[in-house]
Amino acid sequence: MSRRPLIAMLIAAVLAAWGAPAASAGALNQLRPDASSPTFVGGGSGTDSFTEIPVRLHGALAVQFHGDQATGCAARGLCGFSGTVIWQPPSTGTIAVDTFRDRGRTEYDVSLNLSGGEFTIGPPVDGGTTTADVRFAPNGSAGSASICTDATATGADIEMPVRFRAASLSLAAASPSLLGTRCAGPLQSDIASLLVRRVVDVATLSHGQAGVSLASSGDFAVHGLAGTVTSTIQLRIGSPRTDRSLGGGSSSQPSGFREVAVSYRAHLDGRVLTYIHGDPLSCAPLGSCGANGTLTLREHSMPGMLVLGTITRKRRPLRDALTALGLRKDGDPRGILVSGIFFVRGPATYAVDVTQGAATCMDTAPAGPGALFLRVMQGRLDAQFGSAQDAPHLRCPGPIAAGANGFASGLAPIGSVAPHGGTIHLRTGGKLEDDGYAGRSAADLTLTLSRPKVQVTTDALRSPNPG
Amino acid sequence: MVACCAVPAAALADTPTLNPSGTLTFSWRGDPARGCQAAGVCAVSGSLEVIPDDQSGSSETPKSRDIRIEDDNAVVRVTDPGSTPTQPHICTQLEPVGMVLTVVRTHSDGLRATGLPFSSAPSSGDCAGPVGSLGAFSVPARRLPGPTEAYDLANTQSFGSGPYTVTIKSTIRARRPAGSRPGGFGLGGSGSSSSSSSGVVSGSKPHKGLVELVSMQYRLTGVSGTVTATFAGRPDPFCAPLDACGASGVVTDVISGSEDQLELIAQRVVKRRVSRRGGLADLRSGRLQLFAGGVLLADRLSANVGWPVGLACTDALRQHNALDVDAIESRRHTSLLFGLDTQPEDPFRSACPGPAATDVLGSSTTLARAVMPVSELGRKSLRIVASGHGRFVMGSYAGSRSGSLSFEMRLVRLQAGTKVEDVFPGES
Repeated sequence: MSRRPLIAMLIAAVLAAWGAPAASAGALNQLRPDASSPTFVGGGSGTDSFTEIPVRLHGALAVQFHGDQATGCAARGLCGFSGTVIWQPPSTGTIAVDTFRDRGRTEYDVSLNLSGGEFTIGPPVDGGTTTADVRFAPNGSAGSASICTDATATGADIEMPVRFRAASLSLAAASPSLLGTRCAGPLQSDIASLLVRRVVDVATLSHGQAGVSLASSGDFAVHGLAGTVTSTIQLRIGSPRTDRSLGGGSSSQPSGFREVAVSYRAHLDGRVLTYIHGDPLSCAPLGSCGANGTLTLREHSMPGMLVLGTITRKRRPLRDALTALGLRKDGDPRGILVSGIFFVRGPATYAVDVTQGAATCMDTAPAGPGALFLRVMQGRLDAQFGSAQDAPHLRCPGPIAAGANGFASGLAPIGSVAPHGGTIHLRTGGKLEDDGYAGRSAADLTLTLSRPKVQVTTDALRSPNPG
Repeated sequence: MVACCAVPAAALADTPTLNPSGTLTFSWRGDPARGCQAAGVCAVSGSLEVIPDDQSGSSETPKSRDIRIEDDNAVVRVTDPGSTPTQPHICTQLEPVGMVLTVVRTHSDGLRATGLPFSSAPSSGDCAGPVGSLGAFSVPARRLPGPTEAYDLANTQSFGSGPYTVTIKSTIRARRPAGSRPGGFGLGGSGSSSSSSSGVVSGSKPHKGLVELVSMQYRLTGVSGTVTATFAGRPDPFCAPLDACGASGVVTDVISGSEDQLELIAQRVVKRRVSRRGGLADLRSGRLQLFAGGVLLADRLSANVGWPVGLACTDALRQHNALDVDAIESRRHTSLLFGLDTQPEDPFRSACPGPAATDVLGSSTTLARAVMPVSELGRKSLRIVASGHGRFVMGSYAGSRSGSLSFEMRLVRLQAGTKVEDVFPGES
């Protein structure tokens, strides 16, 4: 593992650990576990230059859909649903181009950030806004008719993968999903093939002053839903601003710090059940009155790298940091923050089963990546897991994943797992309170850690390639 | 960012903040007793449900009895006239909420929690609803028994706002998590700490120095102007979220009065005394730094919005907007910018649905502007005409705006010369 992701992960974990519950979908989306090399605010170490290009956006994305017999709406219980989902982007955004060297090659991280960094009047919305208006009109006696109207903040970040100095931009890469609301409807992946992908040369981005059209339209019919997609979105790219000083070992940065990182091969297995029901106090506008269901996440992750680390002043004895990390017992760990992260990738599925009256909606889909955030508090390792899936109800109606909606967590004495590896059971679920829904999750996940590797780096925050 | 977070924190004894649970529901409906018939909003009913974010990871210094109510996912839903179960007309908008409920002890009512909107006040957004913030309210608070500090803010209350009756239902409880934790979280303390550090920088003591100063006061006379926004729902389906399909409207803001005094101050640090005439010449040639001033203008807003079903919503109210005066940034301060600003009140927001100032203006806050050379300053009378116009497509609406404001100013006081004042190192 290169130094760049290591430092970035540590800082990401530290910042994420401050917000409780740490493992929220929002925090996860900012970490971009799919990114070629995860970065966080500040660009991480090794950044040669960081360019920000202001972008103006016009237009909107509209998806009109209905249950489709030909693609199996009956089996999924989706036949009675029809509606419109609109994504309205904010009027401004920023393309961030992070240029860095990795293994002797120039690499780029490019993304379109729509989370509204610039000052605007009015309430802040993280990204654009998705609004859904979905009707449920069941056939015969299969439940009563209802209407779901909802709005959510979506599309804060659009990753632009770079290949041969060309960055590709598509609304299909937006996170959180542009179609993620509490109402039933298609997934972003269902319409991805209808969302145009534009390839922009990194040099063109760096010069700015260009227009990019994401306008497209077409029909879709997949997984029990069919409809039309219309995008009128256009981008106008402005003049770039480049900062070449980031991570360059500027003398103004503080020196005298030591990073201790402990890495483990790890994997996460098990399942999390989330039981949901319509909240009688707020169910009416969401059409969720009388709804009951279960959202099941099954994890069987691929082995990956879990990094646990800390940064202290260099003059502080190393044994203090090692004691905080559970590797020694003779130091003073007070005042030292230990945090870590594990990006959970690999086979994971969501299964949804929501019943309302005589109607039952059932759906399954890949769960996408997740993340496990770790921190040490009072000698115990606290692990909190969150999935990047913002709308775990998939195509059925259900709650969205918000920061306040707990998911799965577990504790283990740091001294029992840190020195030689071991297992941590995440069996604590969380209470779910959402607009129109309430519920609770029950977790049964096991995190397995191998023997650790310890890496000590001094002046960790000063040099782009320390150690 | 890295550097800021890497500095080990001082061992501050941060206190966990009061952590809210429950919900805060704002609902409103047109009230015949409050004139909803004339306003055309008797069939309007709406709600905004706020489910506060968990604050259990937050701490503060010093300890307070503030309860942070933040919900980035709060949604306004308003049922419009003509809505039926089979043909619903519902305006839906994401309306993030950020406010503080402060628990205070009053002489007459005991403990009460008072709402202080701080970042994004609860409102009906672009949907029909009460004008202004819904966050300025007060509910009784009850201290809950037990070893940890906790309050019960359960309450339901109603009040009138324009043609609507508003009901606020609170099931909020707030509890301070047990134990304070040290701020030594290693990398900068806890995330949401409200602690503040002293802004005093060592070595920045002021000394006495000569300051060239020009101060002038103008009396505003003959203020008149109009800002108009005309709009209509965008084509289907983009009009659907705000139930704007077939809707159209016009909002007119007639500016007629104001505070009558506008004060402008310009100064710089000098080494020699300057005469009154010299000071004025320096101002007019752009050598002095101008400090922004402004006045509040009173205006009368009238809205007429046609509902999709053919009825009309009308509203009229008095409010205030600001006329800001700023020096245009340049090496020499040679121009003044007069801008009619949307603060403190949204000039397009009424009891009727329609686009807000953010929709109409984007990231700008200026409705009309005029630029005047500073060489004009000091004249006995000035006449300024500010104007602005543009088109917008945002949310479910598209439209245009135009604004014009003219005002005359008569000089009532002019002082120029040199004074001895406290000067900070590096100040120019």
